[in-house]
Amino acid sequence: MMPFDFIDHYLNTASSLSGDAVARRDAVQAALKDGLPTSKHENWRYTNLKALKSNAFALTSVADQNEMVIEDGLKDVSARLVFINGHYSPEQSQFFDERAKASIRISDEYSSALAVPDKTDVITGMNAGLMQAGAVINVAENCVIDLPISIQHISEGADYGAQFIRHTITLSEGASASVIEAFTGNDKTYWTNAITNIKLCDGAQLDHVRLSEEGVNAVHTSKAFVLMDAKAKYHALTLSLGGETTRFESHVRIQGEGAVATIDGAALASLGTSHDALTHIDHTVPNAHSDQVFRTIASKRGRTSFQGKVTVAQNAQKTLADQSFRALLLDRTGEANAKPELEILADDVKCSHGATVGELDENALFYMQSRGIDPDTARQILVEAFTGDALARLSEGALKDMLVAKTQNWMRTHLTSEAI
Amino acid sequence: MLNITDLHVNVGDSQIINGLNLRIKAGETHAIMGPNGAGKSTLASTLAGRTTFDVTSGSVDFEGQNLLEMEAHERVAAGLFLGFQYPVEIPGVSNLNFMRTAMNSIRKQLGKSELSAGEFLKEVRTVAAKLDMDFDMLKRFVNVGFSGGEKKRNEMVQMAMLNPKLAILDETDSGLDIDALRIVSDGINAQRRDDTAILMITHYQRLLDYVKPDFVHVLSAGQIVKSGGPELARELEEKGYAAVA
Ligand SMILES: Nc1ncnc2c1ncn2[C@@H]1O[C@H](COP(=O)(O)OP(=O)(O)OP(=O)(O)O)[C@@H](O)[C@H]1O
Ligand SMILES: [Mg+2]
Repeated sequence: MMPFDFIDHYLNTASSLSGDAVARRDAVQAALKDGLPTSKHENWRYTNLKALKSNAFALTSVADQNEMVIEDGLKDVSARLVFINGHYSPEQSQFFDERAKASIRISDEYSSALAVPDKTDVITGMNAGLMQAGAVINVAENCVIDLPISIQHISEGADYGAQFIRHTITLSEGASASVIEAFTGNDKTYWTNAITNIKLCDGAQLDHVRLSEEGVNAVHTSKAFVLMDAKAKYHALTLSLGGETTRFESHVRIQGEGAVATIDGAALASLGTSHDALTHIDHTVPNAHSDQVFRTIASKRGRTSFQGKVTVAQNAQKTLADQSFRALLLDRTGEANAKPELEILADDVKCSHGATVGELDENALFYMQSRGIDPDTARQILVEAFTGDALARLSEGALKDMLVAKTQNWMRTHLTSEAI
Repeated sequence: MLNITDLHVNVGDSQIINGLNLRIKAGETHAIMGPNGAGKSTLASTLAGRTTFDVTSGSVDFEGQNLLEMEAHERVAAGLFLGFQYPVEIPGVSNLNFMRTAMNSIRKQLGKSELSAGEFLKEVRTVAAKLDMDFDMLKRFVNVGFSGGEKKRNEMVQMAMLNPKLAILDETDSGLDIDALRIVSDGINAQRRDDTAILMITHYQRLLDYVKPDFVHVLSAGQIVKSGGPELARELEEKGYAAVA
């Protein structure tokens, strides 16, 4: 007996999808045998998935796109891939760069392959079984795609839609690319379950941004699995601005010396929303470097959490691994939780972690006000400076400008005194 | 310009300012001296609009307006400036950005158009050069990693940019080396005009040698207990507070 009725529904849905129907069904069945994770699961302490237990959830279907205008806020991109309700939209997608075009195809085939194993996780297993579509990006050796590949995910369905998206990005030796995945949607109750599988070969470089501007009733769970070879560089930024619940996971395994992983994130929580980040950086070889900077803001019953795990294998000498989490609570109803976890088996390593939860600096606010700056603006400037730490590593350019503008816009709508 | 009458200020349950009277006219320079903990900074912060200080009675008139009814940023637009005894560090916010935002906020309150980036930069460069402040320091985060003296000099750059009617300078001289003291004093003197006034809080005669006050007051236990001319400062320096006040 399945613990929840809704699982039957997911099982039936799985067999209707393209590819190996039996494998899909088995994947969902295996994933759901114990039901959805609850706060008792260590990795799910801070994320509440109760909303997903409704029987009404069904796979999203293709949307009517006649009236749709897709705006990603980026003027220059190498490609714009548009997924609507989990389905690829060739009409809305565009390629501007031959190298990008040659590197990208779209797939809806079943695949359970993961760059880094995550066998026990229900959300991951469901994605394998129920995946509707995704991009497969293969960048050839030494190929450099300068402009971002923009992947837009838009949810315009009815209530209780669930979309399962699965992208695969492989950068061959010396290749370099930048990918932004943006998620937006209407105010219906829906679930976005997204996985991005990433393999970076020797010397490859990827900038990877995930942006959640999901609708106010949405649950967003997305996971990046990243496998890094020697001297590969992976820079990740997750920016969590939307959704009722947004949860970004990053699972990075470093298997080549000299690799550098910088995993940053900012989350802005207000009006009872919940924004969680979970990372696991696994150093399996010597001489690699990882660094994480997470900044979160919580006001008006908003909740943020950061669970950051770093494992360093016995032979992974000379590992450098740093982690910094800071949260600002803008009022007494905001909440922030941090759970750093270091498992270090090597003896010659430099690892650090810091976690602080604080309030806006009253002295700084008064100082600004005593120079003529009104309190709302002063508050916004301080909050922006605070979250700016997490965006600092992103290279200057239109993409960063767009993300900064989005955080500013969030602050304008949520942090003025009328809003508070 | 400023008229303080029977001012009482509490912090929590304790009364810090205790029936204080002070009148400052345009064109005048006043100095307040007094022992540690007397309430000098409390007075300055109260005038600047810090809400942690609770005015329990008394009145403050600034240029014909009831100062106590204005918010801190409105007081700045009305022409009041406080140079902090302990300037605050603001990580992540550049000095230039901070000052430009401040100037434009004030202009907005006064119904004026924003300064262009060019106009602002030209002005700030001129002011910084006069105060011997390296332009690179203006690009750094506000006061972060500044030495004590550099912070005070940064206060003076801000004062010159905002060009206030009344500048209240809380121990702007402490922490300055001899050369910096001269530069800062020149900055204060440049701010002395017929239509402006200065209120300096200091512990040292040295500053008063460079910026000659018209009046010197002794603040003790939340009240002005004695007032006089520049000679009062010398007397205090020689004999100490206990003997004079
Ligand atoms: N925020 C506060 N909370 C509690 N007590 C305070 C606070 N601010 C000031 N006080 C107290 O008020 C009194 C006056 O402090 P204030 O800073 O005004 O003194 P001051 O005259 O400027 O001294 P100094 O010469 O040392 O700068 C002191 O006893 C101080 O401890
Ligand atoms: Mg003081």
